[in-house]
Amino acid sequence: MARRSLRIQEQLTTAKALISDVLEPPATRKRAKVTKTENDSKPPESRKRTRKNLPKKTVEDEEDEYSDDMAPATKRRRVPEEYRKVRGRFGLLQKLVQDVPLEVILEIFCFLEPGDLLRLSRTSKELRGILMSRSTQDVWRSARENVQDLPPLPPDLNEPQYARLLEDAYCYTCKHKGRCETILWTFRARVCKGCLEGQVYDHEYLHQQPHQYRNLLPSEELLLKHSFVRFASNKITAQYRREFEALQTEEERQAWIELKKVQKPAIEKHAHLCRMWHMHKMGDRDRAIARIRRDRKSAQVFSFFLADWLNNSSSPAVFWTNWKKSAGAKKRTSWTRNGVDIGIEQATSFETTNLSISLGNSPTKLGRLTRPTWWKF
Amino acid sequence: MKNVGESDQPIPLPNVSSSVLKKVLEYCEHHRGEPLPAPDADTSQDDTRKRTTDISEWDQKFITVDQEMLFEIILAANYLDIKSLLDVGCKTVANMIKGKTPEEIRKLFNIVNDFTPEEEVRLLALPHSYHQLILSFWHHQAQIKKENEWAEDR
Repeated sequence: MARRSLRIQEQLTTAKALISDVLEPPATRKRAKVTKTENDSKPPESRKRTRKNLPKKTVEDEEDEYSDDMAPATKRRRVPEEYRKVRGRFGLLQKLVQDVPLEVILEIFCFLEPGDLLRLSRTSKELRGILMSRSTQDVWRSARENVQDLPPLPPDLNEPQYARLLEDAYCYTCKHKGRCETILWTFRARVCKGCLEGQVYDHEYLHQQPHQYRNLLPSEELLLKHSFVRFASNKITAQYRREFEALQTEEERQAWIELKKVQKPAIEKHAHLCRMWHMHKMGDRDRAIARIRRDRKSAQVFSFFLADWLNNSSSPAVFWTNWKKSAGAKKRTSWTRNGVDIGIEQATSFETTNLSISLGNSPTKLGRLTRPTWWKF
Repeated sequence: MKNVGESDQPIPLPNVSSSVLKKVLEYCEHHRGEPLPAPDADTSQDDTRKRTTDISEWDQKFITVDQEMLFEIILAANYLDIKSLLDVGCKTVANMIKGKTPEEIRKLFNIVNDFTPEEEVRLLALPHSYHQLILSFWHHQAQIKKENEWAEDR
C-alpha cells in the first residue's frame, strides 16, 4: 500500500513539474524547481536503501501511514473523563508489585474485602503464595471486618474458604458460569437449583437410622418453586452412622451424642446469621440495580420528549423504543446503542414508511406499523 | 527526620524525585496543623477499627494522577514515613482493585498469568472438608441426570 502510494505520489509530482514547466510563467517556476530538486534528491535506489534501514513498523506507524495515504482524517472518539477506567497507562502499577516492600502491599490489601483478596489470589502464583500463607491471616481478618454485619468465621472453615463461600458466586457442583445465590449455609456450600433437584430429605432412609441421634442429623430448608423443601445428605448420614458404630461402649456413644447436640445449634445459629446477612446483601444489590434502571429510563424518556418537542415530530421515539432491550443496569452513556436507538431510527423513518404504506404496501405490515404502542410505554 | 536533627546542611533524598517531592510538599502544606495520630493508639486501634476506603474531596483531587506518579507518591510516603499520605495512596490502589475480576487485575498490574489451564480450573475447586462429602455424591447424581437427558434427546 505504502509503496503504491509513493509511486503514485512520484508520478504526480513529476507530472506536475512537467505541466508547470510547460504552462507556468517564470515567476511561479521557482516553486516547481524546489519540488523538482526534492524529487532529484530521492532517486529510486536511495529510497530502497532507506527503507531497508528503517526500523520495523509499529502499529501506530502503520495507522499514521494509513491515515496519511488513504482515509480522510477521522476524529478519534474520546471517552469522557468520568468513564475512563484507569488513570494513566495500563500496567504501570507492575512496579508496585515488584519494588514496594511487602508491608505496603499488605497495607493495601487491608483496605479490600475478602472477595477481592480471593480474586487477587487467582491472578498469579506469587500473590497466591502470599495470600494463602498463614502469615497473612491478619490481612484476611481485617478484610473481613471491612464487610458490614458479617458473621464471624466458623471454626470448621479457614479464611479463604469462608471468603469463597461468601463472595464466589459459582455453583460448587457443576461450576456453571452464571451467578449461583442458592446457598446451603448449614453445609457451607453453594449449589444451583438445577443441581439441587432430586436431593430431598429422604424420610424412609432416615427412619433406618438409630433413634438416639436421628434428630441431630444436619438438614436445611430451602424455598423451591413456592414451597419449602428440606435437604439433607445421605453421605453425611452414612458418615454419622459409621462414627456412631465405631464407638464401642455406651458412655462413649453418649459423649458423642452430647458433642453433636452442642455442635448442631451452633452451626444452625451461624447459618441463620449468614442467611440474614446474605438476604440483606441481595436486597441492597437489587435495590441498587433497580435504582440505576429507573434513573436510566427516566433520563431517556426526558431526552426523548425534549428531542421530539424540538423536532416537532409527529411520531415520538418513546413509542417505538424497545424498553426490554434498553433496560440494562448500566449508566447510559453517549456512545451505547440499544433499544433506544432502534426507537429513534423507527421514529425518524416513520414518515417515509407511512408514505410507502399509503402507496400500497401489504396489509400485515400496515397492521404492525399502525398498531398503538401505548402499552409499551 | 528526627534522627537528622536540626541543621543547616541539606538532607539528601536519593529515592524521591523533585516532581514527587513537590507533590508531597503540597500535601503536607494542605494538611499542616492537623494533629498527628499517636503511634501507640494507632497500632492498638488497628485491629478493631473498620478501615474505610473513603477519601476526602481534596485528597481525591490531589491523588488523581497517572499510575506512575501514584506509585512514586506511595513509595515516597513510605520512605518519608508520612502515614496519612501512605493511607491515601493505599486506599486509591485498593479502590482500583475492588470489584475487578482476576483478568482485569492482571491487566491493571501487568501481572503475567502463570497458572496452567488445569490449575485455573482447580483454583475454583478448593478442597473443602465438609461439603466435599455431599458434593461428590451430588455430582454423581447430576452426571446420571445429564446422561439420562442426553439419552432421551436421542
